[in-house]
Amino acid sequence: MTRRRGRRPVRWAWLLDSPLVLATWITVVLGAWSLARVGESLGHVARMQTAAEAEFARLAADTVLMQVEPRALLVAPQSHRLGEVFVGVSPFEEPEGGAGVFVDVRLATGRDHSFVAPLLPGAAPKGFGCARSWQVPGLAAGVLASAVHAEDLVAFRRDETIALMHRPGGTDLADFVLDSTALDCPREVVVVPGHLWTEPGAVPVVVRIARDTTILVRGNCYLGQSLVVEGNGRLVLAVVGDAAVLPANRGEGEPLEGVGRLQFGFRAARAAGGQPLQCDATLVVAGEVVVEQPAIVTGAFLAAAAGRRGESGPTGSPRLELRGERLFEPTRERVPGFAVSGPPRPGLLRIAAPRSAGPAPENSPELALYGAPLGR
Amino acid sequence: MIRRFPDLLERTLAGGVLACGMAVSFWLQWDAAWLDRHVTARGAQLDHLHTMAAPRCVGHLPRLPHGVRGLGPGVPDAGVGAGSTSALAGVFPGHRVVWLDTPVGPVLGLEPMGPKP
Repeated sequence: MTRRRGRRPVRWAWLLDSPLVLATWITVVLGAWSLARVGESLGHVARMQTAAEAEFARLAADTVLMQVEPRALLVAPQSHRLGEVFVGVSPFEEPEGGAGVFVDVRLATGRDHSFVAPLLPGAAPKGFGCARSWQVPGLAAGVLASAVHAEDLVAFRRDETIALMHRPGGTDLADFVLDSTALDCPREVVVVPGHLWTEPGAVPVVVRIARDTTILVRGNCYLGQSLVVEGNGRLVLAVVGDAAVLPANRGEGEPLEGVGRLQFGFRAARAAGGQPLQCDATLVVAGEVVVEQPAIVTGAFLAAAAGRRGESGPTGSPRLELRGERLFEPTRERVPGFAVSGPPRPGLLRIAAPRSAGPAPENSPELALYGAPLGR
Repeated sequence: MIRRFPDLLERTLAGGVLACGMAVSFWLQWDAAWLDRHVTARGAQLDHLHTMAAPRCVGHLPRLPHGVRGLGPGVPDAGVGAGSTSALAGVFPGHRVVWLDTPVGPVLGLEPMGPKP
């Protein structure tokens, strides 16, 4: 066999010619693959350890917080030891007002975890923690006086015609329409001095809220379209009604449509085979519930036992699906605008940036605790 | 020398290298699988803890998926046990997870194990 002139012999063929080199290549590939697999598993372990450590720190903080008299937490900084964990607790002023506590947890590994928790005056009504409650909770004292009025917020549009479009006789009170918007409310409770509507249409009403907010409706509420809530907050739509808001100059014999009523959808939409409405808010209804169109409620649903209409279809199938996905934790969370009961308590812990990032208060026991090397 | 291979010595060496490589690879893979089993078990324990924990933490810590409610002591849990903390044994070294009786109701907390200082 002659080689063509000028063509060089293949020099890399020795990489495959020899079984020893081949075996070495196979070993290298197997080793690299195995090392990569081990590295991946070690990554899983590290992530799991981080998650477990955070949970451990939270449990340690909760253990200490729940065993100290809540009022004592506000007096002076304290330090506690739980096994090999050191927990420092100090008073904290919540950014939105109200007292709270700052909890520093130093683990045996030397890592710090920090939390803040509001101090709550009591427990919220239990119904906010269930998908369905038959009791309508009471409002906190003075909530109406301190609330923001819907007229002062751009999220609510007063509409004189919407009632006439959907109800032959119109309504007794002022009508407000909630549009898709960011509900930037300076306070946690908004009062609607009339009826509240979401306009029927193909596009759901999207409300973005940064914190838990309650809308108190003193008339009726007509949900003509799905109500989607985005953001970190939860929306409570409380249709409480109030006979005091009814106009005094109502003519004799004029039909009174009532107040504190919640209506899902309209008959026209039902006849057109409309999709189920979705409501992401927690609903509190003091009066009647009318289900003209199937609806899905993802928050809690608190309505009195009496005064339900249309909650079940003609065949008994439920037309109001209560999913209970966006609930409150009544024992450790506050529901804006509603009365509380029971003893004061720390609220749910929130993760906070370590306080060491900022200036530490002078003569704080935390300095003594963390400044000196720990005898471990 | 390379041109004269393969010969017996080289084949023997190649077999040895391959055997060692496979053995090391198998050991590493077994180790990785053991770590994965460990992580899966710990993950199940943490999931159980999240399911039991009422109240839950807000913020960046994992919250319960929508629709899953926290279990209190004695509340049946189809997955592991009746709101039992025994399933959480070993999840936190040196401490055990216990239900604390507090004025606001039962709350999950920690209890150090071993002799008290």
